[in-house]
Formats: sequence, structure tokens, C-alpha cells
Amino acid sequence: MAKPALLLLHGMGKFTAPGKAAKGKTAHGSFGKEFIKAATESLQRYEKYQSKSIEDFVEIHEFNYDAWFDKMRKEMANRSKAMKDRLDAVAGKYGVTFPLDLAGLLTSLEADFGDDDFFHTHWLDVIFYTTMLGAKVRVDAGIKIAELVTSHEQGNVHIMAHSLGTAVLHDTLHLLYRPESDPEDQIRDLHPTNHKLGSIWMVANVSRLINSFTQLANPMKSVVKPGDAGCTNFFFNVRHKMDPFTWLSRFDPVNNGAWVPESIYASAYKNIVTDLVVEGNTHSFTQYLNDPAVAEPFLHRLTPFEVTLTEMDKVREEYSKQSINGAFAVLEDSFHNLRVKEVGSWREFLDAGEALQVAAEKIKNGL
Amino acid sequence: MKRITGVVFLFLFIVTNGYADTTVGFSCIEDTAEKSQFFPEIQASARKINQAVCDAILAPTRKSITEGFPRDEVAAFGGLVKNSVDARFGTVKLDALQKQLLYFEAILATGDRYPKAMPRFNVEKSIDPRDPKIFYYFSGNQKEQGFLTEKEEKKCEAEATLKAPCSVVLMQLDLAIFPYQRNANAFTAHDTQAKLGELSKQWDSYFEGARAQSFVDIAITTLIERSHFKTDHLVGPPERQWFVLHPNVVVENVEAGPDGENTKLALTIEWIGVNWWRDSVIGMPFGISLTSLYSDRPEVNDVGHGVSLYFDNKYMIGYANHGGKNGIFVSMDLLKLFEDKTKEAERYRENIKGLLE
Repeated sequence: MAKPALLLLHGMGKFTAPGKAAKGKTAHGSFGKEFIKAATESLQRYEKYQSKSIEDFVEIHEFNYDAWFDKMRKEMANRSKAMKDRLDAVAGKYGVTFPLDLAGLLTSLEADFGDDDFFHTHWLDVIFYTTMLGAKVRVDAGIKIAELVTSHEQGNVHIMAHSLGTAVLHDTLHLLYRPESDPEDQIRDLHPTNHKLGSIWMVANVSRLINSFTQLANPMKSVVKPGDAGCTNFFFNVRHKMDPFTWLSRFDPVNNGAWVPESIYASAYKNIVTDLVVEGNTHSFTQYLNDPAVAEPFLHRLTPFEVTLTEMDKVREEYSKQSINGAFAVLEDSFHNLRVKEVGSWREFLDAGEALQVAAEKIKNGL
Repeated sequence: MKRITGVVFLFLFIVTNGYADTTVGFSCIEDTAEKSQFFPEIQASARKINQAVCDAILAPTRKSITEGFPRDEVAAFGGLVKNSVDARFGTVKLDALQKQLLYFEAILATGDRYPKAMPRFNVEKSIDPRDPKIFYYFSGNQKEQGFLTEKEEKKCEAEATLKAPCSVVLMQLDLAIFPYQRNANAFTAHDTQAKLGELSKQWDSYFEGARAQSFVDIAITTLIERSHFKTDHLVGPPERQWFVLHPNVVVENVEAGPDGENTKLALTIEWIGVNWWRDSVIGMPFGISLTSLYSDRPEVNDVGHGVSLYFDNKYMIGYANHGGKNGIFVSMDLLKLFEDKTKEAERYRENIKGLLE
């Protein structure tokens, strides 16, 4: 049996794309490096694996869409900058207010797309994804998934996505897999049985929230689920209790047979809720992955992970000592205006981000 | 001559390939795993099917994936697996395993030209590392999965034909069955990958070859073409691009303007426009926009209103009415094209002149 393949999809923010390394190998991108570091640290906490790396057990692949988003926003900015000056000049000269003012304003906003501030490197990713640019990203993600399913065995491809990546992954799989796949289709869909994934890891899952903006596919009713009607054997949903991005339109199916049969829910779905605060940014991918509550089932699924219950408990206890005293209270205080809501809006999404930034900064600076 | 050869080649390609599923870049996968200890006859049969599927896929005259598919061998494989497992397990009865084998036999027999599903036999660790159990099931029949209790695990050890824990025996069964579906499922995924590659190239053409859009244009295109994007499969770019409040720099000529002021640089704003970026009824990319134009010229209204026509995603020509005075404008690209043609004509003229002298 070949090593399992793990495909990683990053969230919003700046991530370098994987590149070519010597001898035809791939050099990992920044998200891949983050993952390898965190997963290896988690693995090495267990005595038997102290000299091991996650790459000894898992073949790491990445799908990067940020590099293309970055290219698009910079191209838009460059075009707009050239146009902006001319518009300003003409509008002033002729005393024309509308529509040159409006066009000027729009062009001016777009000219700032090239800036590398938080809005343009993070929020703009989400905005871009909700437009037709997202459709292109999904096609490219589909290619990567189909490539891995071709080269690896049925059930031997696993995917982990974080934040915005969970929406990219959900939407792509929903459009890529269909049970009624017809061999004469123009583009043959992948089959939920024949091309079944080993496991899906949705870390800080915002797929329902993003779907409330795009109206593309409801994650509660899609093929992205475990079991016979789904595209994966196992589904892991991970969230931090104090990650406000997971408070809006939370993906949290209940075991009543509506999403998947109850026996499948019990044996193939796991909802992991973490609560330790080791770094102020509770949305951070590495904080999620470092937490033994996540690392344990992850390593159990993708590596041999021959570890006793006693050692698992010991590792959890040791890790909990890294928790920052008082951080939970700071987060609670910062989020006092935020609510867990069934339907989230853009405004609330932005509010959640701002509140988290404030709290993370406070914790970083010693509360 | 080159063109005729190309057409003949294309014709031959279509005749010989028909349905264009993609074998380019596909290599058959040979199962080289260790020998299955308990089920060598299943493994041998599975490998034979895998090879037959490979031969069918790579057959030069094949018209579709279903042609030459070893339908009968695959349909019989389910029965062979069940009989072999029954014989090997002897008196050991695992209820869930029986259900799984019956499912497998039935599923391989369904479908007309080739089975709809070619599942794998899975032997998995339970989801919770703190509650270790072994589950087993064929993909597609997870709802009837079995799990090995400690008591069941030992049943196989007591059986003379097995003498191993049941989990080990089941893993050997997975090893034996696994190869039969390898090429079939890898090839269908490869074909999907190749077709999606074509879609991705269409997207590249859109962003590189179609008219450049601002973010507002992209947003409005997303909105107007939403039915295209909300289909149940991955899609390429839409046929039409839309533009709103899109600024442009043009050169305008107003015949009725004062002498020396006829031709001037101007700015246009497309209020709304549409562009068939790939092709159109006129046989080439074509777009039309409602446009206002702003230019500074004595005795002529600064603002004119009219239309712009786009050709081939880059050349624009338009008309604007400045309070009764007509203006014709062209994009910088079109002007450059005229300039290039003028320079070219001038060069020819000079060459001919030189030859005559």
C-alpha cells in the first residue's frame, strides 16, 4: 500500500505556492511548510515517533489559490492606477461629477488592490472567491483532486482545508462528485464509490457561511459527507470554541439521520471542539493542528500511531500547560458583541475578524 | 499543403477515436503488492481483470471507455470472491461479512456496459483512537459495515484454514480484491483530470485574451451570468462578459469641430456593455456598450452620448452625439493598428519606389 496522500488547502491570507525543487521534487509552499512543522511537532510528542517526521508517513500535496488571486489583484490595481489619474483630470477639467466621479471612485478603490494590508491580503480573498474568480479556482482544485485520485488508491487520498479553504474544498467536491455519473458525460464526474476519499478535515469550517453569500451548494445537503452517499470514508469537522469565524452559519450537523444515517454519523463523523488558547489567534491553523485534540485523531487516521491511552493522556496534560492564563477571558470580552448565529452576514463576518484581531493583539502583548 | 495534411489528420483522429476520452498521459497501473496469503486465487483473478481493463483502455481502435471492457469477467468476480471467502472461512461466520459479499456480488452485476460502481473492500481503524476497533465494508455499503469484537477477532485464529486474527485475514482480503478496480477507476479519474485541464485553459484564455475587466465588471458578470455558474458541475468561463461604468481612453474625431480641434484624446465611460469574448453571430468576438464620452473642444459640447463596438476583444470604434454634432472615436489599440498599417503601406511604397529608381 502506497503512502497516503494528503492535500492541503489554505485559508485567507498570503501563502506562497509550491515550487520545483531539485531532482524533480516539489518544494513546499508556505502553507505546506506550516503544516509539516506543526504536524511533525505533534507527532514527536509521542515517544515512539520522536525522531520521525510527518513526511515519513504521509505524502504532502498543496493546492494554492492565493498566488493567482494575488496576481489578479495586482493586475487590476495596475490597470486602475493608470486610468485613475486620467479620470481625475478629466472630471476636474470638465466639472463633470457623475458618472466620472463614481467611475473614479471605483477605479481608485481598485487601484489600492495592490496594497499588502490586511484587507487586501485577507478579506479580498473571500470577496474574490464569491465572484466568478472562484469558479476558476474550483476547476483548478478539481484538477488537483482528480490527479491525486488517479495516482493513489481509492480511499488513500485525504484532504485538509482551513478557513476559506473549507469553502473552496466543499464547493469543488460538490461539483466534482456525482453518484449518477454517466460515462458519456462531457466531463466525467468522480464517483462517490469508485473515487472515494479516505478522509476530509474541515478546520475552522466556514463553508456554510460562504455558501450563504454564493448560494452555490448547501453543505448540509451536498455529497461532501461520509458514508455511501458521500465522497469520503471519514469526515472531521474542527473548530475552536473561541474562533468567531465558526460562530456564523456554523456547520454542525446533528445525529438525527437527516444529514447521514445515524450509524454513519457515529462511526465516520467527528466534530472536534477545542478550547485551549496557546496563541491569541484562535483561528490560526497551526494552533488547531498543534492541539492534541486534533492531532491525535489525525495521526491515528494517517499514520500507524501505535500509542497507549496513558501516553495520549500525558501528552494532552503537558500541552494544556501551554495554555495562556487569562486569554480565554480576554477573548470572551472582545467577542461580547458577537453571537452564534444561524445566518451570518458580511458585516458580522468583518466584525468577527476585527474582534479577533483586537483580542489576538492584546494577548500577544501580555493581555 | 500543410493545411490539407492537418485536416486529413484531424479527420483520421476523429474517425479512429470517436468519443474523446483521454488516454494521453495515462499509464496502466500494475499491481505489485505482496501475495495475498489467504486469497491468492482472488488476487490472481483481480490482476487479470486489471490487465484486461488496461488493454481495453489502450486499444487503438477504442471509441469509448465501455468498448472492450471485460464486462463478464467483472460481473463474475463478485461470485468468485464470495465463494473463495466462504471456502476459506469454513465454519467462521461473520454476519456483516456475508452481507458485504452479497452486496459486492450484486453491485458488480449491475450496470449495462460497465459497472456503475467498482468498490474497494475497506478494513479501517475506527474514527476514535481512544476506542480502537476494526471496521470493514465495501465502499458504497458502509451502512452495513461490520466491526470486529474481541470475540470475533479470535474466531479466525481457531479456524484451521486461517490461524490468524480476523483483522489480518480481512486485510489480506482487501489486498486480494483491490487490484480489479485499479485501472478502471484510475482511468476515469485521469479522464476527468484531463477534461478539467481543458476547462482551466479556457479560463486562462478568458483572463489573457478577453477584454480586461475591472473588479466591478467581474462582479456584474458573476451576477448576470449566475445561472452559468450555478450548474451542478465545474464550469469554464461564461460566453459573455459584462461591463459597468468602465472607463477607457479613446481618440475622437468631430468633423464639425473647429479646425485643428477635430481630433482629440477623450475619455469614455461605458454605462453598460456586453462582449461575446469567444465568438459571436458575426463570426468573431464582438461587443457593444452604451457609452458617454468626454472631450474638450471649443464650440462642441464636452459630453457626448453614443455606442461603442468592440471587435476581437481589443479594437473599439464608437459614435457619440455632442448636442447634434457627430463624433467618431476609436480605441488606442485600433488607432495603433491603423498606424501600423499606414507605416506598413508607407514602407511598401518606399520599397517599390526604390525598386523603380
